[in-house]
Amino acid sequence: MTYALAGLGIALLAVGYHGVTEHHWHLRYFWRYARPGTVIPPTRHDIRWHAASHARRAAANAGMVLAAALTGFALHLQPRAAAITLAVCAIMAVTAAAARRVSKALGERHRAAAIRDEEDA
Amino acid sequence: MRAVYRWYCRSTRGAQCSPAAVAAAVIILAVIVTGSPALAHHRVQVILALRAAAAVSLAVISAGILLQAAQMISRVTGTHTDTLPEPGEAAPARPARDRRPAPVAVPGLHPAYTLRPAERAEMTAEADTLARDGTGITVSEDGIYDLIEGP
Repeated sequence: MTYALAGLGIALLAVGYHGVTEHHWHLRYFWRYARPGTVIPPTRHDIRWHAASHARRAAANAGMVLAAALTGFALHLQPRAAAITLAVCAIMAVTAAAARRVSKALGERHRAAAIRDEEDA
Repeated sequence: MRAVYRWYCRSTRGAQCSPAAVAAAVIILAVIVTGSPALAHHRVQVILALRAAAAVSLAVISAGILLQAAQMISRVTGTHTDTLPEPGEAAPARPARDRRPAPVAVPGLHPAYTLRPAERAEMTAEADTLARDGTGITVSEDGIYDLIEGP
């Protein structure tokens, strides 16, 4: 049961990550209704998962299966400790990603306009 | 945990140490503690603590594996980010790669591609020729909308 739960959770996590980062589900299904003028970038098929080689995809899939097995075993050993650890890891990952994004945006704002135009051209 | 142990090892002994030895020591210690007659009364609690520690370690390892997988996928930026050599320039064995993603093309907002100076000059010359040849084709910076909405 714990293994099935872990597998299902990781599959949902992977689908959500793919949908948000590559298909912009957060814009398409949520943000667009809050702000009707939102421009949804087209899904790109030349980067990330869509452009990854078969070997890379297989490695990612194998990693997810391994992670599901380890998570299932951890939940089997001590459900409460494993659940708390996973929750803490998830919060840390989200916080670190958000901080990195804000930091990057601030850096972008302070980049000189002339240099920015030259680099982005 | 591995990073913390490496940092500790470097700062105290100035050497790179593998955490495998410590992991083995922890397991041996756990076996000794579990079987120790002195702790026989607390064996249940000891086993519980060891199970919790194992569960936490496994959860952290699985989170690390997931993070690695996500980073591996996000590093795929596509060959279109390779910097192409200019005409006449020798192509490098490994092309320099621009890690920034290509700008998203939104119709009407951004060009779908960037013209090189030579191509731009050629198109401008072509447009000038069209504008002067008396065929009635109007070339405007406003694009086709100028023709559609015309007078």
